[in-house]
Amino acid sequence: MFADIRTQLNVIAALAIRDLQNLMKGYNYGFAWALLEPIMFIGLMRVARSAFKGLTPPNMPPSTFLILGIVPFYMYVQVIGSVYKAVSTQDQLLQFPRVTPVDIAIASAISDFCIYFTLYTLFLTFFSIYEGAWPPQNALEVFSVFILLWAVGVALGFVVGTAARVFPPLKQFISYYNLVNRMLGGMLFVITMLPSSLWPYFTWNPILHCMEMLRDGWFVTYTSPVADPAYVLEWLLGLLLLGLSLERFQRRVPYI
Amino acid sequence: MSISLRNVTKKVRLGPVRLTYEGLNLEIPDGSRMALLGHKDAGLTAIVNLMCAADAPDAGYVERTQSISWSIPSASFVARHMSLAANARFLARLYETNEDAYVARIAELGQFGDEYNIMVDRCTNEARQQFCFLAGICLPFDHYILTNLNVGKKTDRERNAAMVQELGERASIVLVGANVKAAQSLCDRAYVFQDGRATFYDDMEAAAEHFASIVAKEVDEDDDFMGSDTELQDLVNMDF
Repeated sequence: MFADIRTQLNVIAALAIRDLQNLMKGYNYGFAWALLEPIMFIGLMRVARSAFKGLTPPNMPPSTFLILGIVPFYMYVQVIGSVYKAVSTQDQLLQFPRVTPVDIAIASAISDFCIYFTLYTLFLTFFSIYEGAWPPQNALEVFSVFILLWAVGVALGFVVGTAARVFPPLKQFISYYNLVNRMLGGMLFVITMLPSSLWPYFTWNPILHCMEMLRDGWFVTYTSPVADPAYVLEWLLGLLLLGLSLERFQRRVPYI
Repeated sequence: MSISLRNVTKKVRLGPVRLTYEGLNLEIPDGSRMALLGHKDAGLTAIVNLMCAADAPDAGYVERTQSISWSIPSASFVARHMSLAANARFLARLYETNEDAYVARIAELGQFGDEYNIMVDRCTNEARQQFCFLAGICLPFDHYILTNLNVGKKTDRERNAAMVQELGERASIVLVGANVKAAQSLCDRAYVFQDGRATFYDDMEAAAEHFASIVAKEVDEDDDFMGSDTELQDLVNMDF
């Protein structure tokens, strides 16, 4: 059994390395785009925040605050997309008998993680030193939440990817979901910036809990009143169970 | 120890091919040299996909008790923005074989020269085909699925044929397609696929005869179709 597990891990590693090598394929749009998109967004938000003072929490340096939320969120969206694509379409690599859709999905998600984690570490280190927010209050918490958010993205990718095999228009709903999450998921705010009467509604969203934990883990000046890792873990387990079960039961469903 | 398809049902919808295999039973025993003969519209790609686990049957089971290759020399796995050598390294990692030895072995057999280390996009078609062929047969499998033997430069083809002969002495070969001559020289048994059915022969002469009758029937049908429509016949015979 251990030999089988080792083989499967080697397959995932081979696929992830290939994915990372392939990022360079379009020089203009590959790895460069993965870096440029969040940089542009962070830059835009930074300018907007400077123009409309008062929207940034006063006790947290603005660039570090934005990077803490934006990069993990972009990774989350990217991971959902990668896993969705791997599970819902018939990849050419499936012609290798030892490669399964689950391997391809996990390998794509790992390559996304590698890119965004590198980006996150570089940006955070540079900007937090520049803004005097270094070192993080609890680096382990930040790192764990980053992984947790990645895992939630993988699990949700499995759910929507398998569901899309029988209901392809679902792809459109993912765009709407990401748009709503972009606004309400805590990427650009912390819960204390909102009236406490709204907190019970916002805290339904597990992504908001992750964002809260990220800020809580980094800044000495902020303690989240709502962040609950157990709640996110419950979501993660539920989504994983649902996603992997759907994947198992849909293996005989032909690809569209 | 073999690859078996048991009571498999599969609807094949590949391009213009529209057919359904129902209750298909197929057995490829260890060490056999099997030909799967059929035309393009026989849906052989779907059967190969089932054997390789690239697709699942609608009903029934596929049992594999030994290692099996992909359809050689399929090029769909090749990343075009990487070099042939980098693609070989990917396969070595995937199949847990010694990377350096595998890459060197392909380079030695393929004699690609500088093409081995430039982007696949810039390689010649012959080099790409030859690479895909060698990449498959240089890995250790119990069953090799071969879909085309006429790959690479003309000078390479004899060498490739000899390699396949040698391969057949240590592993099982499954030759897929409509190349009856190659099947007769390499294989000792065959399945002939027609209209969603597979007929087994342990005599290659009989299999070749059956397959020839399918070809003749198709030609007759085409002639009948043309013969019944004089306008179409005129159109086809028109000198442009």
